[in-house]
Amino acid sequence: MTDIEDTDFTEFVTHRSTSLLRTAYLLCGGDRGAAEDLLQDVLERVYARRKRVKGNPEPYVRAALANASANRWRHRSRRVTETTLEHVAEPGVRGHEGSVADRDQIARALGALPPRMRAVLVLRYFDDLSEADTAAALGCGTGTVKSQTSRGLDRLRALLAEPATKG
Amino acid sequence: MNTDDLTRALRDATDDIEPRRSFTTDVVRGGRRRQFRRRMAVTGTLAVVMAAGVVVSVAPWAPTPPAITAAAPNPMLTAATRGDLAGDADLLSDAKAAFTKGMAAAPGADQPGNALIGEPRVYWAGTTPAGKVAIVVQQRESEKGNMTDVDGTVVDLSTVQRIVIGLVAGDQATDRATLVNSAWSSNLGGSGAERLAFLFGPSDRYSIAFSGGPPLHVSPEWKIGDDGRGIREWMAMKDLDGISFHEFPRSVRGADVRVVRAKDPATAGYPGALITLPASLYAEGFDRQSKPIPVRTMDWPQDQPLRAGGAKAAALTDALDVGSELQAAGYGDPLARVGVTGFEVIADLPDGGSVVGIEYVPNDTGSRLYLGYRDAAGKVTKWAYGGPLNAAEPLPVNVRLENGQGTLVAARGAVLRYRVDGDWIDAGKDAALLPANATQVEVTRDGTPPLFVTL
Repeated sequence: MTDIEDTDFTEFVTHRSTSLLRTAYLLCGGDRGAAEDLLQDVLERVYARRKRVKGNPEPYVRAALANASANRWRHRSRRVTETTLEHVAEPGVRGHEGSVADRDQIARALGALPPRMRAVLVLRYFDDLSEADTAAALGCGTGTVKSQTSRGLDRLRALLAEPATKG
Repeated sequence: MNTDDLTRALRDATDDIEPRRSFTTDVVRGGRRRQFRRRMAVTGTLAVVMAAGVVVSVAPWAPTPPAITAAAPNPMLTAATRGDLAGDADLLSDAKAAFTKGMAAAPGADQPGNALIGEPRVYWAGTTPAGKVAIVVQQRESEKGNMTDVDGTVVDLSTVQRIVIGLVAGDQATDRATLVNSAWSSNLGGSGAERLAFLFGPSDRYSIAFSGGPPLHVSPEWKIGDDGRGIREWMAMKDLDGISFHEFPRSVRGADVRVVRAKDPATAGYPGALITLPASLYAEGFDRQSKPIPVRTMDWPQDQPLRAGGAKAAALTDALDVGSELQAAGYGDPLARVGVTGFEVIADLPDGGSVVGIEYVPNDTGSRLYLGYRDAAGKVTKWAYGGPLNAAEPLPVNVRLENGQGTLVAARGAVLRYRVDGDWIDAGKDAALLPANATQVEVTRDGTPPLFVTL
C-alpha cells in the first residue's frame, strides 16, 4: 500500500472521472451541472487529503461523493434542487421484461427520493457495492441499508408506475 | 422493475455522460488552490497565536522547505528491447507506426494530461502463438509542480516520466500490424504495467502480461460442476523473455478471464488479481460500468416471492447479501464482478424453520436455483444447489429437499395438484411443498390442457 501521489491522483481523475461523474449525475437526480460541481468539489477536497488515503482511492471518493450529495441536498445548494413528483416524466419505454424505464425518467425518479435513500440505491445498483460496503460508505449500519433499499425500491417502482403529470 | 432492470436502466441513463475536457486540470488546480489556502489559514492562525503570546523566538515558524529532487527514470523508456524479434528493424518500425496510428483514436487519448511526447519505442517484440506481437511505449506530457513522496521527499513532477503502453499485433483480416489495446501508466516501478494484463485475438483468447515477481496464472472462466459448486482452473502463463503469454485452446469471454500474480492462484483472491483489459472492449473504451451483467433466463419477478401453501417466512433478500453468501459457500466466483439474484420461492418447514429457493446467475450460463435452509430464527444454516432453471419446463422448480422434507415445486401462474398413488390432491397455486412420497404433479395454466410431471 502506498499513499496516493500527485501524479497518481491526476491519473486517477483522468481515468475515473467519467465513471465518477455518472455516479454523481445519478446522486444529483439527473442534474448534469450539479453533478460536475459536486464531483469537482469532492475531488478537490480529496486532493488535499490524498496522503491520508491508503490504497485505491475510488471507494473513498465514492463514499465522499454519496455523503456530499446528501449534505448538499440538505443545505439546498444553489445548483442542486430536488426533483418533485410533478417533474417525473411520462412512463418510459418498456424493455425485454416490460419494466425498463426510460433514461431521463429513472434519473428524475431518483431525484424524487430522499438523498440517503437515493445514495443507497445508486451505490447498491449502479456501483455494485455490497450492503456492507454501502453501509461503510454512508457511515450507517447494514440494517439501515437494507431498509432504505427495500423502501427505496418500493418508492422508485411507485414513481415509475405513476402516469405523467403535466403542468 | 427488478434490481437487474434497475442496474441496466441506471447504466443506460448515464452512458453519454462525460466530463468536460478541462475537468482533470480544473480539479488539480482547484485542489492545489485549496491546499494553499488551507496552509495560509494555518499560517494565519499560528501568527495570531504567536502575536497574542510572548514572543519567545525570532526564528521563523515555518520549517525549512525540503530539497526538490528528480524522479527516477521510467525503466520502460530506457530498457533495451527484449523478445526474440528485438533485432528485426522492419518489425519494430511497423510496430511503432501502428502504435502511432492507433493512439490517434485510442480511448482517452484526447483527455487532458494524455498528450504524447517524443517518439514511441518498442519495449518487447517477439513471436507468440498469436503471431508477431510488440509492446510499444511512449512518454506522455509531464505535469508541472511538485509532489511529496511517501518518505517526505519532494519530487519535481516535471521529471516524472508518465507513459502509455500499447499492444500491437497482426490484424486478423489484413495481417497488418495494428494497435489492439493500450493502457496509461505513470511508471513501471511498482504501480504500473505489473498490474495489467491484455487480452486480445479472436474472442480474447490470448493473454499477455508483464513478467516479474510471483508467477502469473490465467483462468478462462468460473466453471460450475453438477453439484453447483464452481471452480477456476488456473494455467501458468509462459515466460517469453520478460513477457508472460497464454493461449486458450478455444474461445473465451474476455469478461470471464482472470489473471493473478501469485504462487498459489487458487487462494490469491482480489489482492493478487490483475486488471484484465479485453481488446474486445477496447474500441468501446474500458469502464467499470461497462462490465457485462449476467443475464437471467427466468422472467419471474424478483420482488414477488412465491409462497408454498401461504408460507409466512420472510423473503431471503430482505436480510442477506445472497451473492456474498453463495460465494462463501462455494457456489459463486470469488473473483466475480457482478452476480444477479432473481425470484424466490418460500416454504415453511415442519421443524419451525423454512427453506427458500432463490434464482441466482453466477456467470453467463443462465439462471440456477439455490436453496437456503433456515432455522426457526430465520438464520440460513445451510446452502444447497437446486440445479439449472429452465423457463420452458412446465415445472421449472422441482427439487427434493434434504432429510426427506418433501419436494419443493413452483410454476408461476399455474394451479398445481399432486398424487402419491391414486387421487389428485390440490396443492394450491404457484408453489407447493409436496410430501416426499409424491410421485406426479399436474400443472394447469388458464386456457391450456394440464401438463404432467413425474417426480
